[in-house]
Amino acid sequence: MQINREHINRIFITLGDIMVENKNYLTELDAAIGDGDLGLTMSKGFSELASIVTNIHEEDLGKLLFKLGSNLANTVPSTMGTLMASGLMKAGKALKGNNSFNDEEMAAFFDNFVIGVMERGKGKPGDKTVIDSLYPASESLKESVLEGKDLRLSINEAYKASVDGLESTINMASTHGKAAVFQEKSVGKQDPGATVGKLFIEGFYKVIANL
Amino acid sequence: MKRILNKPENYADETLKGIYKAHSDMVTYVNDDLRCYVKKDIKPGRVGIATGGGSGHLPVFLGYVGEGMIDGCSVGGVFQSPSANQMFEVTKAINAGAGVLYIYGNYTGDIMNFDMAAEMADMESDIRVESVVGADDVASAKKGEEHKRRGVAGIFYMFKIAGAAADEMMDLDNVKRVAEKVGANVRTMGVALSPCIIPEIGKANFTVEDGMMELGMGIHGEPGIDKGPLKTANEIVEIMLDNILGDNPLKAGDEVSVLVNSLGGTPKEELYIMYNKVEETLTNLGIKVVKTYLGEFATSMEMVGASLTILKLDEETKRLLLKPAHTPFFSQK
Repeated sequence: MQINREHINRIFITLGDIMVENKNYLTELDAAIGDGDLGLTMSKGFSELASIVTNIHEEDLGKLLFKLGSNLANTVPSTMGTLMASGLMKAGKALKGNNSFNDEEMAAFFDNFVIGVMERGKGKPGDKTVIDSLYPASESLKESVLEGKDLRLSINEAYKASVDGLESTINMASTHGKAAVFQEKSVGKQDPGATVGKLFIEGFYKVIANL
Repeated sequence: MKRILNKPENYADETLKGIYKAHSDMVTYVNDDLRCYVKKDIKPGRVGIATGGGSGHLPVFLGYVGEGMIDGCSVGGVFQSPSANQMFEVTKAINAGAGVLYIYGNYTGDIMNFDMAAEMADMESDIRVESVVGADDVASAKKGEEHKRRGVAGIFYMFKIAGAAADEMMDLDNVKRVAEKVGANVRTMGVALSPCIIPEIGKANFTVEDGMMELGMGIHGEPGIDKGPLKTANEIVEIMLDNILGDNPLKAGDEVSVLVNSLGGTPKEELYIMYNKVEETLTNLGIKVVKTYLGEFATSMEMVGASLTILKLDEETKRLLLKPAHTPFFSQK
């Protein structure tokens, strides 16, 4: 399957809708163990990308993703904004020169996205962060693509992996960022950052699974 | 609470506009962006020093841009990081051919954005950038986990001393070395008596009840180490000194500089009451106070409370500390 420019446009428009729909939910989760601005920054950042994506004149999908990333970094320089921006920029750089993505390149997109987030945030799986929903999804997708499964099925499984990953954050203690001051108090609460990660995967899933 | 405002959402930008008008001889902005604050006269060949961080802490961070101190500052919304692009614009504007040193507080959002800005400076403009983070708050993480500590008022000493080093035309590696030395020898501890309110939010998102105090509370309301009934000034100073000297021991004959800082709502009288006890205790221990600073250096808007910072000096840092400096918020002959 080939993911083209039109699909990427739809994915980012869908992501804008998802983040706006979940604005209050993210704010509530974040207020419990963070500073409560996550719903605001994610809805602001991703609806900005949704509004500009169709107007960016760029055939190279790698460059397009890099541009979307740097736009996100400028629109919402909060912790999560910068992390998601770093993922997009890293993935964009890695996939430069492609006007469409095949299955392997989609797997490479998520792989590089997660690496970008981990490098920027100096985090790893198990720290109760956005990585805990992104990493399992990326690993699942990589495996499915290696097995030669249809991308629609692969993205479905990756989405499920992100849902499970998100659930696993409930029993973890925060060690990063503002949430770290709550450490043990954060146990029992779903991580707001990992929720964003799951919603991000959801945007891709909703578009690709229905192609 | 009562505030003199126009629109809460304009808090940071209208503050900046006022500063540019009041101090147009010394500072300006670049890239048509009020949030990219730079010194007017950039000395050729001197290492540039940039900082940045959220609004709501004046004079931190931009207040130390000026003669003998730092060259530029990117400014975020209240308690929010500026963007990597704003940091990059400041970097380009202050680079005078000798590279740029970033000195900023140890907060996740700021670290990620400054790292990204340093990559942009390297990739797009071939500017060499080095970074040092301020992490002086002893109450924010225990000994052995210094890298997790928050940056508070002690960053003033990094700006002052690294700035003087850059003025002596030291190269980037040496200015960084001096800044790191200050970081390794400076300790701060604070106490909060009342919270602060972010104008756009309009209500406090943490509390310090009437008659209570919170030792070690962060300048954004991060939880401290001990919440209890308000103690006397002397008792508070004793606890602060115990924590600071317990973390970075001093011996008779050592020379230090002391900074007693108001978090915004505590008047100078009370800072002097604190200093009276600080000086007495240090003198009894045979420690010499070479230079004292007292007033508002790193605040949280209207928060009532104070912090005590002690910097252990050596010959080099002492010489650089005593050099003149002049900015819109700080002057020393």
